[in-house]
Amino acid sequence: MDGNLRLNHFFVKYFEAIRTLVAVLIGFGVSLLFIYFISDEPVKAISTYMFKPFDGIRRIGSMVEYMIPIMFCGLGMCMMMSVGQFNLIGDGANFLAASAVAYISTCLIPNCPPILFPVILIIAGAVIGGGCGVIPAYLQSKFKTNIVVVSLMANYILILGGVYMLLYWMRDPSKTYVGSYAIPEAAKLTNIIPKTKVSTGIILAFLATIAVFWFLYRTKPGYQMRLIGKNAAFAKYSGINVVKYAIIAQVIGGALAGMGGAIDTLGKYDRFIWLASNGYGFDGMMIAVIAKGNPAYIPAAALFLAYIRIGADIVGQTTDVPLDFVLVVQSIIVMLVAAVSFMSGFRQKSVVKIANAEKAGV
Amino acid sequence: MDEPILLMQNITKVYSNGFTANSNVTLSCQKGEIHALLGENGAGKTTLMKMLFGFEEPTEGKIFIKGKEVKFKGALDAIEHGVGMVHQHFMLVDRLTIAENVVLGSEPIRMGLFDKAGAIKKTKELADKYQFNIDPTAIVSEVTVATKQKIEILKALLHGAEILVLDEPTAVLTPQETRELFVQLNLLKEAGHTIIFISHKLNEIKELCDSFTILRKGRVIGTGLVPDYTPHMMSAMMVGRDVLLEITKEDAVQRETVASVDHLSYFDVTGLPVIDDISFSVQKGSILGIAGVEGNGQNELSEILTGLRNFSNGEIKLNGKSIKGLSVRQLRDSGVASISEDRMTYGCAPSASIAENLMSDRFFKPKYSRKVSLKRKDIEKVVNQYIKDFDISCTGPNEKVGDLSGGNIQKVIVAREFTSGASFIVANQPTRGIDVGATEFIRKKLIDLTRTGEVGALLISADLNEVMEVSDSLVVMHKGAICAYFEKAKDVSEDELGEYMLGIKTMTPEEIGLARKGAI
Repeated sequence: MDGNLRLNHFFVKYFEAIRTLVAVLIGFGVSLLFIYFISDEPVKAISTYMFKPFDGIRRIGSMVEYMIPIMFCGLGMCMMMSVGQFNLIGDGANFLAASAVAYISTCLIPNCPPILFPVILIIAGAVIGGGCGVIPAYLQSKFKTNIVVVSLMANYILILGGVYMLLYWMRDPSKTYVGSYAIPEAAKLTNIIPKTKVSTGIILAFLATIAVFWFLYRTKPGYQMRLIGKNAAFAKYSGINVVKYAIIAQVIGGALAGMGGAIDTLGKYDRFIWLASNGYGFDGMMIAVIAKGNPAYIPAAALFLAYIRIGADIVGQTTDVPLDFVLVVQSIIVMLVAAVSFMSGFRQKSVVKIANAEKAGV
Repeated sequence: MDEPILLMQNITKVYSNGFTANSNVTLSCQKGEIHALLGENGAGKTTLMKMLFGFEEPTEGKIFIKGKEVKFKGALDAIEHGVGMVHQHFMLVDRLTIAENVVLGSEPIRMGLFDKAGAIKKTKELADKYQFNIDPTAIVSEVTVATKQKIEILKALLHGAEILVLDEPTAVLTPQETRELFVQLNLLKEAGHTIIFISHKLNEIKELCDSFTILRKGRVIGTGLVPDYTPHMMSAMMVGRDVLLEITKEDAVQRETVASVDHLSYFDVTGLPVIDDISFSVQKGSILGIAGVEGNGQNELSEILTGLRNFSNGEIKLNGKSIKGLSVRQLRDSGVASISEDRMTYGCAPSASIAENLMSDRFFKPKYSRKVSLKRKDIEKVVNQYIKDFDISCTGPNEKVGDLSGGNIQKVIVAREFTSGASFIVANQPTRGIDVGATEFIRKKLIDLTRTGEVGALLISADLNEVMEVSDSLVVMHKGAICAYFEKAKDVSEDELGEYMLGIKTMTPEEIGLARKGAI
């Protein structure tokens, strides 16, 4: 009985974490069912999906490579969520910054000393991303536009802007495929794991995670931003400049997404080749939702998403299951994590048990 | 005894935050009686009634109506079984007429269309039957609060309510309106209706009710017939100790003016004056009370004084300096603190911790932060001290404010505002809806703070007891204007105050003008 009660206390205390975990497991379980029903060789497909991502340094490398940009975009989304704004500009910011960084390095300043070169480019990516972040934030505070609608629509403009740069400003005509001129070696980030494309970007991503966590939870501006997110009316009444800090948070959010775009381009590719969004911004949104907006959980959420993505990739290449099934998994997880009442019945039962026990004890 | 018309048996309700609002509560009412449901705020009265009206489901226990067990899935079920509810906050369509509101949900139809004449006739008949003096064609937004309450009662009666629940109906009424309501409730009783009357005003219970049930901390403490008990006995049962009903305080000491308001006006978007040319001043060492029925410009006034709203005409000076155009931060820096009337919207961030809530107006001060980062250890030390000083019952500085009880949430807010070093405190409804213990504590703190001689306070309250007991001097607001000023709040009678609040009486401009000079 006593142990049972302790279990109830534990359940109530860590409810949010348990709930997220259950949502993830259900999503994962459903994806297994999915494979089971559509595949002619379900056992092979499932084992491919579950274990192949860890099979060999190359595949582990792909997961880590994938984590880099989505961690930055996820951290950016955490900044947006800290002030209570669902600003989805991250995707466009990430893409435009990636494209712009490629353009700057191939056409504008191709002869820059190493070390300094990537630093300048990453800063440029941050500035461009920050500029993107301000658009929906400013329109909302000035004209009371809906931030979700504006940011989603603005994404099209930003992404097509990036594609335009590729097609008309930096396309290498000597190539049969569409691609930019080659990015100078001096601009690239150093590779840290041989046989993979994992660059120093992953270190930067973890540093950024620590920095964003510190900023939000330990500094004055971060405190003000979180207070705005929790209750903007109260923040205003306490004397906090709500408009200013909400916009700053979203500029930082855009800047992080932009840095992600720059670092991905400089760490992984020889040329800029994207003709459509790579979706990192929305992946970032997804992991930020799974992490409940807390930067500390971003690496774990990013690892999980990278795992199911790479798993799905391998399944799509080596078995008869199309890789799109992974979208089902993602949708279920995000829906369950975002669903406020999911599992609240279980929590209620535990709460009642604890309350009754306390009453009996008094 | 006959079978009760309503029996709520062994009801237990546990909310999702673990709070047990009702614990093994049994409530039984006879047909044709007025039954008082008594208890402090937070004792579980409203929760119990929510279950009776189908808004909440009991965790355990059964409800019987006329001996038959019922299970309500929603308000419609409850209405079908003859339960009618008059909420504290009226649920009316402001832009429709009284008749249209009364028949809402059971509209008379003629040839497939809404029968307006029929609705008016129906309303008129019903109103006449119980001597409700109303005009069915009046628009709801233009009638008084008392009339709105009558509309709610008529609506419930039209839906066939036999058991009528009134949730603190007199809280929004003046003494005169209360008396009129009692006459009508007695008529309803004679007509065979059963009334559950929720209140914590003992004199009203004594005057109106036949029997009572007292709740305390979610449990039934006692039940009986009203004539068998004195108000004092009931009061002791409600709070479990003798409440200090009268606050003892020293007289205010006359000091310099901390805040002065001169010919202040504020017009809303439609150009109507919400605050209409008011002048008063507040001295350090004293409390000026603002009495008035809610919605007569008090909230706008408090928002203007705290920088959340701009004013149209006039002048406000704080320590001799005009506050026109100052931001909230600048105002706070120049010595204003405020307790908002809307606790959960402006007073705190429920999902933030106690520490985060306590620091919201001062985190930037050198004591709590360096150039960029917060001094977490120092903050925690101060917060723990506040928790102790203000007797906030919680698990620690990191507990979420939203998980505390109403009284403790208000204590967090009061702890912040009273320790901000302000010289002028605007307290808007500081004790509304919180338990007696916390109420007493907060009132006493406010008095103590002003008696240091460094702080002047403006106390806005719809609770007559509060403004009369706590304030040193008093103004009454009606329709945005000041209609009365009393130099000594203690010398005013409740009835007199009621007449000014209703706008029946108004003082001469000379008498009101004394408010500008301030107390004594």
